[in-house]
Amino acid sequence: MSRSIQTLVRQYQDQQLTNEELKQLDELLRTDANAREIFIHETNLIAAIEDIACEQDQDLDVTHRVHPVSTDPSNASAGLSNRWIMATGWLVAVVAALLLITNFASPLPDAQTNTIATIIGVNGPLQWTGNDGQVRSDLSVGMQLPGGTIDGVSPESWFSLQFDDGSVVVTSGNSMLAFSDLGQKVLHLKAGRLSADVTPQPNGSPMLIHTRSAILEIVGTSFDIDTDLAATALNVTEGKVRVKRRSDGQLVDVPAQHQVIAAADHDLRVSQIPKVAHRWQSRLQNGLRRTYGRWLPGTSDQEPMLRCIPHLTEKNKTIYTASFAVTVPDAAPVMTNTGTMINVKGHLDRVTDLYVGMTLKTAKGDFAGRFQVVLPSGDFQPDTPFNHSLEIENFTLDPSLSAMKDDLASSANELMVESIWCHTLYQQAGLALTSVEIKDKSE
Amino acid sequence: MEKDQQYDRFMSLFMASERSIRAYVRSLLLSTQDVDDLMQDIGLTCWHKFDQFDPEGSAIEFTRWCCVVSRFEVLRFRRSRARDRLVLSDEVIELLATHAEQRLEQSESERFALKHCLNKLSDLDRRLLLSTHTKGDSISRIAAESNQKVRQLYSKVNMIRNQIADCVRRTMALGETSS
Repeated sequence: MSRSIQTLVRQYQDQQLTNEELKQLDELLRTDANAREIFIHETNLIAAIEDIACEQDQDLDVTHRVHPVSTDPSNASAGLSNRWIMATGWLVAVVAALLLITNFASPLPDAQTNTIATIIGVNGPLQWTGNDGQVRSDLSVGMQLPGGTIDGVSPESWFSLQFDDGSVVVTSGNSMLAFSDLGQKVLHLKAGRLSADVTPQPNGSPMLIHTRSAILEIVGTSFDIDTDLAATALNVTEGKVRVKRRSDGQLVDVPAQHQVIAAADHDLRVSQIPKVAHRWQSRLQNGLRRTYGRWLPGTSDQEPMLRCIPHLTEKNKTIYTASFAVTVPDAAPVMTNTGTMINVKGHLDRVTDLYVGMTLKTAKGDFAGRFQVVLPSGDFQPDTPFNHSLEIENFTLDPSLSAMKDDLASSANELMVESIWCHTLYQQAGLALTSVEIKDKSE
Repeated sequence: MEKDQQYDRFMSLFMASERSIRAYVRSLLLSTQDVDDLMQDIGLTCWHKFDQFDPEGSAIEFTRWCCVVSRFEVLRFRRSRARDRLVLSDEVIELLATHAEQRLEQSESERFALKHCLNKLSDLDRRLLLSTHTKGDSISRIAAESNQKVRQLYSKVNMIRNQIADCVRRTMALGETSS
């Protein structure tokens, strides 16, 4: 009996019931409490499976979120991904907008011109949603913002914002940050990475940073956060940050040079930031975690690979990119040195120039630039695997950052590797990566 | 409470409850797209009505309160949509909503147990189970990659669903006996 109700429920959820079967299910649910229990149990599990699938491909779908027209009509689940971010991000923006409207109605003389922060650095495709609902992608340095939500839509996106009191926050990669300052700075980091250098805040009004798993209270300090749906990792460089885990309300203070991971299934334990590493290797055989691209598992005759996915640049050009997060909060930071060599393996369906690059940060966590090598099309053969080793001194600053070069590192040496990415320009060339490695020249 | 403090409290509570509210709404609506659409309205309605929620109320009380608000949103939403699909009657949806509201905490425990059970699956089984909900993946793709018949894989997915449902029941039972 239970199994037959279960089968009906699944067929209902899969939209495969006939009219007769639907009537049967409706009657069962109307008259039998046990059937209702089975129905709710089954649909609850289905909802949870959908959520897990959604978390799994969260990074893959950012492009679809900005450009919702799927190119694959058979892809029935397009739009599922990132729905948490969409729903809550949307809610943050709308509620903040309503709040501002309420404030406009009260006698605040210059509320409509009330900006709270200035953009001091911007690169890569980004989208800002203002509290009045306007959406802009043409962000530039010097632009003043009244609050709103910043959405980094590619692994190369980077955004730096200075509040009127001098506090600076930086997001990078596929991050989403809602920010406001109504006498107290309140940030909501929905996903991704944020670094901040916060000036001393007024007594009783610390900066608050909300993530899905924690609330951070900052009086004045420097730190990095990396958050996803289930966990928030915090590295404190200077000062002290108080962290409250949402799942149980437990509080810890994280001092300088220490870190903590706030997640419901993880000890809220403060530990020292580990020493640096100079070697790193992608592990595609372990799955798509901390990658950006279309992950394909290994088969008997093919290694696991990360295929590139398209996204639009700020200049409205399509590039095809795949990337790996390298320095992650639960492992030692990966640093370059004079002996660093980057090895990239993969293949191209069609020969074209290949851009291999790294997003780098200083040891303090400040953005240091994106450095890249362009491998000319002559170095490749169609449908033949490539294997290139690139020395660190050959990496040069991405020309799109040249206007900021005085504020960025002069070389890729002695910096922390946030991510490694590869892309081809404008036309699909079928780039797929099978392995990326940071190693020493001597190896 | 100042409006901005109220906003912070609301956002904190809503984000902490969102998964539960969503699962609740999902149990009453057939399509995830409908759930996505409605979650935005629900968030906004809850915010508009937030001053009716007990300021001292706990997180679970907030979740329950949001579910009650959501129930009416779901019914309104269903009525606003053309009946172009085979769906359950309003009377049954009301009964299901009442049942779901009574077992919110149990539903949360089940979702927690499910994660544990998914970790026990082999990579291929896990991928198969998630494939129908994962962008860019599908049973037919896995069938093509693994040179198997689509129909066989659908049967296998059904078996995995049974396996998972049994595992969740076992895990819940163990949790209950050990607590």
